[in-house]
Amino acid sequence: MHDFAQILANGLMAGAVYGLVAVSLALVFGVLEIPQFAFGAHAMIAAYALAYLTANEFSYVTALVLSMLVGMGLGAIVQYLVFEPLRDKPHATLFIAAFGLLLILQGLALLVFGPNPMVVEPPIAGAVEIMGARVTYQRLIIIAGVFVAVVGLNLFLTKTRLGSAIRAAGQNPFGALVVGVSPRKIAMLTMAVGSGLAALAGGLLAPISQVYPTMGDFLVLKAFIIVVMAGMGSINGALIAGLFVGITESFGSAYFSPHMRDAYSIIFLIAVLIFKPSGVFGKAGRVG
Amino acid sequence: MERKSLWVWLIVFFALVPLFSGSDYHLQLATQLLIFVILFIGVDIAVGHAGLVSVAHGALFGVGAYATAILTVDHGLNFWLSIPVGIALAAIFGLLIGILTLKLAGHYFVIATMAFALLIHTAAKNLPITHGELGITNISKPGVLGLFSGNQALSFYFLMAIATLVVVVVYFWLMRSAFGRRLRAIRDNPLLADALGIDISTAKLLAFVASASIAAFAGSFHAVFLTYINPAVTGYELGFTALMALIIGGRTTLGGIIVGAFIFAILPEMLRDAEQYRLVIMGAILIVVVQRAPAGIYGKLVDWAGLIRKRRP
Amino acid sequence: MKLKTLFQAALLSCATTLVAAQTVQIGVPAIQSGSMAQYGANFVHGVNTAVQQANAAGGIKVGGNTYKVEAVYCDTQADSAKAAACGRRLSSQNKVAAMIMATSIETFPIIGFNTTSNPPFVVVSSSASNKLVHSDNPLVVRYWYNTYSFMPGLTAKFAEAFKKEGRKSSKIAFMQSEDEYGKAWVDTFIDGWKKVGGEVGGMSTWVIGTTDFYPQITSLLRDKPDLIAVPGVCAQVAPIMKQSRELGFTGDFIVDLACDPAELGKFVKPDQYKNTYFLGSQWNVDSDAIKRFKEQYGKIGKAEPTAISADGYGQLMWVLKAMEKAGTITDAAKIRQAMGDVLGGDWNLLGISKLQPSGETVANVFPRRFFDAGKLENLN
Repeated sequence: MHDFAQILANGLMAGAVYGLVAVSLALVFGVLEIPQFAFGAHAMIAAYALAYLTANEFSYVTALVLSMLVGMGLGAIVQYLVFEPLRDKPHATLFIAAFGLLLILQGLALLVFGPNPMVVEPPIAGAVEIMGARVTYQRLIIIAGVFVAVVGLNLFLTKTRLGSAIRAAGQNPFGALVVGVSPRKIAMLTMAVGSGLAALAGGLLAPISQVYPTMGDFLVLKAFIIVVMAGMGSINGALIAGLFVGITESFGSAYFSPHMRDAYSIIFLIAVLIFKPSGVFGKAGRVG
Repeated sequence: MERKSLWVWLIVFFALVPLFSGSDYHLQLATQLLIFVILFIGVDIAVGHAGLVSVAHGALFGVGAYATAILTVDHGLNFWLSIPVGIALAAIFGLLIGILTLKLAGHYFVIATMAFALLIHTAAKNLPITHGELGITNISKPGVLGLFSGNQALSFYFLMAIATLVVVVVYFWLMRSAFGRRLRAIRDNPLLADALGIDISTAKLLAFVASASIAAFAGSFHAVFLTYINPAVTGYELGFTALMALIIGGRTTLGGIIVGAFIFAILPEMLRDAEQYRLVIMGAILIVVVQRAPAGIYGKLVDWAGLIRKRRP
Repeated sequence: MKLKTLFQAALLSCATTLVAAQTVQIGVPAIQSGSMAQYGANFVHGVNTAVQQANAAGGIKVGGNTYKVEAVYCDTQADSAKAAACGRRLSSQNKVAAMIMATSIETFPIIGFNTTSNPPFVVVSSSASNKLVHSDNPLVVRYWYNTYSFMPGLTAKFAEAFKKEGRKSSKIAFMQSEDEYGKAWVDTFIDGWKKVGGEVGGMSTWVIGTTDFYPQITSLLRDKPDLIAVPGVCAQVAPIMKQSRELGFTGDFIVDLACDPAELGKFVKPDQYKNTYFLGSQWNVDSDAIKRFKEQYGKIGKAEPTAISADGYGQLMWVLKAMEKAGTITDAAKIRQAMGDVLGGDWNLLGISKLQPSGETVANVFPRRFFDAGKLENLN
């Protein structure tokens, strides 16, 4: 039983990170229809910002908040420079632009910080035992952080003016325009929020992993698979699918085969594609 | 598509490349370019003509490479016999992927192809038959090269040039046929195509299978060209590169394919001196081209050539 | 008159600079960017240390002439196609008589044409593949520890050591990195361990750059191994050790040559890796030559050197020494011939020896145990 709890705990933590990146992607994909392949790099830039700040005496929490702001700023800039000029272009084009952005961000990180990874110490070292599973404090912080972020996002989208404007633009861009919602500003805001969430994922992950230019690649690939599994526009669905993928990978690795770890999520994706191509939580509307 | 004169120019150019350079280094680059050209032609059938944006073709290329490597090194099979096996394997994968994903809408289709590429990659890393990360080494070059004494690099280049010519002919024949027209009709207006009675799913599936086969064909040559492959040859990067090359270079035109292959195979070599900035430069090129020349660079070049011609009195 | 002497003086100084400016170039296709860039960086810094050292001593003296040493790099980006292009370029444009390289990714494509190239060139490689010396290539040599050769002896030594320690159970689980070195190491260890009657636990793989090892480690811990073998560089071994301890693993670790206790100490506190078994070789014997190397390397690489750094250093020095012995900087066959004779020297920090006609070399690898800070015991 001890094993089961540990495996479940592992899966929850990995799934939480996947879920957060998937949520950021779902937001941007759902509202703006932009396949933001560079979000992993956004997470990476934020992680570097965090590493730099913590190396210069900033506390972890302050550095985390600041790096989220860096992420948001990056998102707004990126939207303005890269994606806004490509409004209404076909998907493949957006994908390529995102990939170009990814190369630029990785190239910049490599230039500024070099190829050797940076290490970030966790704010609270040590672990605790919960129901037979060993969980480090940092991993608890991650799960808590993701939970808070997603709840916060939901509140923002439903209870605030800006958030409602974003949802409106996602559900009916033309209608939103008619009502006076500026698509440009909404797009920048949406990308900023999404980028901020990706940045949070990077910052949360930094103490557990090392910070290096390609750290986000793997995350974003999984995130895409999760978003498709969850279905277009479903933000909370993306989180749930992310948790599901994390847990499945954990159980699959433990009970079946650790080598095929990456394949489990794909197998589930295939299953979803066969039985419910619109996604597990997919619906006609765009954001919900 | 293109005018016949372009054909002639291209054939002459590629035949004369060895005369212009003579250096083994340039021959290496030119040969690699041709391998990519074949791959990109395959991808273009799916992406350009049928509108099926796929990133799985890198993995399918890898399937061809592994088929040739495994059969020639571990089983002593002749290179030429390994090619149909590679093609058949990739065609089967293409069929499977197609059946499962072709009904998906745009965004999802791309991601699904990415997922399948990842699956093939995972298999390459873990199946005992592929030797995992150790890769397959000492893949010997096709015996026919020995017939042309002298420069090995030169003879391989000519082999590649002939193979490319064959593929180009097949590509033109296929895409200029009724099948090609059907594909483009489906790409541009699926509802209309359906109303006209075109069997959309079969056409798309055939296109996908054909493109997978051509990708594997390129892969087989790649294996003997480098004499070493490892799981990275099935990685998603090549699939992305192929897609990018087509978008940047230009779809449905051989000129676009060649421009794309040049940008991705040759340009990075030329940018070697700007080593540290290479990633940033490549990324910037991608973004700029995608914003300013959405139909691809080749299309822009043709436009400019047209403008110049118009200006002549 | 004065003008003429001035002119002659200028010509003379020109001539002397010309003579001093004779350079010998050695090709180095290396991984300088991409996810494996940090490994390539160590190798490159090692090569640079050798270049600096050689030039500080006035260059190398071959056949009566002095040559300045220059390493010509080419970024392979961990891609075989680019590596092949690098190899062609270095040969066509720089006409090098020798190239040095670290992994299979560069090596195999390049040995596909090193004998037929114009001019042909020697390839020194630290590839992990057993097949490196099976290709009937007369101009290839290995400078590294071939796991296929040392592993049988090493696993036997471990079996002995465990018996002496009185271990009741020594089930070994494996954390294999997804690259050729990890795979070769684990494959050969498991093979050797089984042959000496050892018990083999689970095996998990991880991608270089992974950070969360919980799923893999949890899976390994399920059948309660006594030891976990973690081949890889210290930067990756450290989080695996940390997370294994977090998950409650109280057994010992086995670490490979690429990571030594001094460097590991920078990532992990000593009490976390107490009692760990490391692999030692001449690189771990604290000789004067190694001390000097570490000092010089520190100025160039601004970090502690690793075995990979010593590899880069050794490969370049080997070529230079062979060129001096052979009396040529252009004849690849002669240089290869001379290589066997020059292995004995201070520069050979890794202790590679016994060059065979196939290009294979031998090195002594032995287990050692780290008991506490400063207390290291060799278990040969």
